[in-house]
Amino acid sequence: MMVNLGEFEQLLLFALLRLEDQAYDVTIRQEIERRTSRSVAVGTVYTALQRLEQRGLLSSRVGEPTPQRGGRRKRYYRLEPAGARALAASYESVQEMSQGLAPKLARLVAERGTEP
Amino acid sequence: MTGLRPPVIARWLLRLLVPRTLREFVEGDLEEEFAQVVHTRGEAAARGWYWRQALESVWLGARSGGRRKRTARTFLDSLWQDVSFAARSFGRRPLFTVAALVTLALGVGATTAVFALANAILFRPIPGVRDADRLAVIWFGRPSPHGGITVSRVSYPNLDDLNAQLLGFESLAGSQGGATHVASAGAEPQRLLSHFVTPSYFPTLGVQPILGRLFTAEEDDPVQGGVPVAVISHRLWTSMFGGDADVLGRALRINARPFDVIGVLPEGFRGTERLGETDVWLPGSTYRYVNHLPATPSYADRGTGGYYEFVARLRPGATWEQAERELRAASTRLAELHPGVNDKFSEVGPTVFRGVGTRPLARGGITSTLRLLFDVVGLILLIACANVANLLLFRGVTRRGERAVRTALGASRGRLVRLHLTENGLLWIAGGGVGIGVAWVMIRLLAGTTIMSVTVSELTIDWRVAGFALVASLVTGLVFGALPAVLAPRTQLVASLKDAARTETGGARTCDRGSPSCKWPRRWRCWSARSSSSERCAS
Repeated sequence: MMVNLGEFEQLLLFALLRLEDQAYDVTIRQEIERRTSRSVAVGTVYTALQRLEQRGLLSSRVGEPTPQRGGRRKRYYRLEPAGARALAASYESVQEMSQGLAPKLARLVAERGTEP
Repeated sequence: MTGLRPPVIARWLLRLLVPRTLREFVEGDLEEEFAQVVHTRGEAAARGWYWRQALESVWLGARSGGRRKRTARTFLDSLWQDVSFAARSFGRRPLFTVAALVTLALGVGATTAVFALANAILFRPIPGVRDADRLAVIWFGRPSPHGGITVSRVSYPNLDDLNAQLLGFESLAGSQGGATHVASAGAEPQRLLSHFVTPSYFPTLGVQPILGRLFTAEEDDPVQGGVPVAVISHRLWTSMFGGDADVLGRALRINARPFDVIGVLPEGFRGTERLGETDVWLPGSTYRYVNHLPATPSYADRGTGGYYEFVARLRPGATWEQAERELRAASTRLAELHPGVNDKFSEVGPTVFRGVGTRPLARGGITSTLRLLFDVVGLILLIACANVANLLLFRGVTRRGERAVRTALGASRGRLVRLHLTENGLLWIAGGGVGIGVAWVMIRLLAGTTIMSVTVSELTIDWRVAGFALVASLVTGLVFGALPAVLAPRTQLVASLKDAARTETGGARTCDRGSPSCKWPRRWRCWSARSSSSERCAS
């Protein structure tokens, strides 16, 4: 069955792929914020991660408590094969759809860049 | 690592909002990142960041609420569920809701309007005056045969003597009111209240001008007579001078005598009384000049002129008893130091009225009048609440079946009580809200009332009045709303279910079992009532 991913879900899964075994809420949020220059709320990330976990696209495990967190534990996330497949498919469709359009898009952005 | 902790209230909010299953991780994440933000962007930014994250977590509870297991529900989820159920249930019975709301609103509205009256006269802070509870109004006099005080003047030299001996009071500032005719250049004069004061008057009250300056000691000269300068109220500044910033140095004619405006006082300040009407303040020693009286003998003469009323501030650390004792001793000493001219001080002594805001002799009368009014409207509120509690009890009886169904489906007694409390709480809060509206209308009718010669010209709903309305409705709601809620769930399950079946089947209700609008309990009722049913249950 084909699994559709939203844009933010794709960003999350890419972050998991990039962070490997260091993926937990703080690092995931910072990774997205740093690369996309948008601010992400903790609630948004948790809600999306839970949804993806329920769909079997990723799994989570509970880590050790650390003093920086006031003795609280971290929840680490890992990309599952189903998640990897969904991400690959989504990325592929984005690539297919965008093939050869980059110059045209850049031109349009430049032309209408001043509009609000 | 930094030793700073995230803001306590935000942490508490987070704990309330985030489902229990996620709480540890979310709190840990935010605490870890908070320390990083403190390090990179500073403490204030980090606090702001934490608050934003905590507030945005509302959605964490709400959005994922539907999909999560029951155990992950937050308190907020179920509260919201109860509130929306209560709102729907009131919407279904508009007649009951309107009757209860109107009854409550009238009760709360009347009480709130009287409180607004009391607030305007007794409670609200006196605009511009600092620490009014450490101020006192002082009169010198002897007891009058009619029960009051026959007041006596204290001349400038005697006032200086008193001030030199005081330790408990910072200083005695003289103040004498009188009606005057005031006009700006070329305009018709208006009859306004002016006060003649010593230069220490404003510093004693802690009032600062918003424009210009206050009187200097040289401007109130008892020997030469005062310098014709005036400080005016914010009201006069806007009404007579159009709020012009160039008002300083402009001419003002007081009883046809020319004065220069040197200062404007803060908005709302009208003297030491909350409902005072003073517009002009003048140096005390200009009194004779303003009133066209002979200038001799001068105010430097111990036996001449002086003030009837004083205001004084208790020194930090001093007690009222000590300050009053000292003042009495100082007053008696005036007679000993200057026999002959000061003989009256062997009989005349100070009377200290602690606190300012209302006229000293009117205080008792005002308080008792307001208490009587309050008792009456308090009774009205109680009657209104009892009526609404009655309505709720009756409604509780008609809903026995619904409660039995909920109990049969596994709702605990505590949960049912909470549902009823939420419903009644909502009703009382809404009643309080509408009550503020009713009070708003009522205070328009009350404005202009005169109680013990105090005319209540300004009545407003400030945070104190609104808070009173809310507390009044919450407290009465808690008492009168909780009673039906606690009594209601004590029902015999089987009997109520049978009753419910009879009640439900009494009407010609239609319930389509297949329709999505037919909710669980109704469907269940259809099914349970089938054997003896005249209710049409379409399968």
